[in-house]
Amino acid sequence: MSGQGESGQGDDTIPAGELVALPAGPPRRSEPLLPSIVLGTCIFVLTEIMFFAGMISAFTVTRSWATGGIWPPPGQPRLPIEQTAFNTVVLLASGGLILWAGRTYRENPQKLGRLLVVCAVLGGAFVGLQGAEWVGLLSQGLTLTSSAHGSFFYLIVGSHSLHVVAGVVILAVSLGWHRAGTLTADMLWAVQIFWVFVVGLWPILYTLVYLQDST
Amino acid sequence: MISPFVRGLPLWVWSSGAWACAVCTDPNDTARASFILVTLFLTGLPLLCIGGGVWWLRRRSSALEARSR
Repeated sequence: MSGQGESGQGDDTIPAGELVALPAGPPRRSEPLLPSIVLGTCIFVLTEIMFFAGMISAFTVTRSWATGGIWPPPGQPRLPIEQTAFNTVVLLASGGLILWAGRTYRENPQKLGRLLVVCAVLGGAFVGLQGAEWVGLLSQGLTLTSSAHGSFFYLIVGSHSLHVVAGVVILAVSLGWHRAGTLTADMLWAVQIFWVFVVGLWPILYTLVYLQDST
Repeated sequence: MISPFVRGLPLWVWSSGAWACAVCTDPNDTARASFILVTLFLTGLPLLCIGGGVWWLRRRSSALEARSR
């Protein structure tokens, strides 16, 4: 209770129609600098970048120790470069579509659902083709314990495939949210960041693991 | 009586022979070069990511302020 109320004076009340100067301060933005969900995804992706950077570094050093500079070690199968090149194109197409999805969300949200379905299907196709490739390599004797070549191949490519599976699940969940009308622009932005990271990482891994394998 | 400084001098002069890292002293030139390369890569990558993020946030902040005016 203030003293003013008790005395019943009310002298410091503002008369109607009088202009009041508000305290000066920086202009307020209506939009946050970075939505929490996007910031969280960026931090997560940063840790993932370092995770893959560690594996790439270990692979590079181990490869340089190869006897006589021969890699893969003698007796180990060659990786299917052409088949994986096609698989790379499939994943890159999915990445291109998710970038397009942001624009579709703003301009024509009805078409977003179809776009998310195609992205998820292309991601699933990538994992399926990779699985078929792994079956072939396992039958040729390339296993996790057959050599350092096999260990690094399954560790690096397998970790990436797990990320693709996670991305496909996230795309499917986003599709559900979109159909329920609860998918916001910030949520879609976070999904885009993760999927672009997963797609953008693959050409680097393909070059290091597959293309350098043939040299 | 030899001073501790004089006794420690040989260690300081020939300390290069006491490197603990097996890769740094690897006779294989390719292995040594790749080790230095990945050290630079792992040092520079987080700095590049954080620097890039700060640069992008500053750019976005300016754009949002310009839009709100």
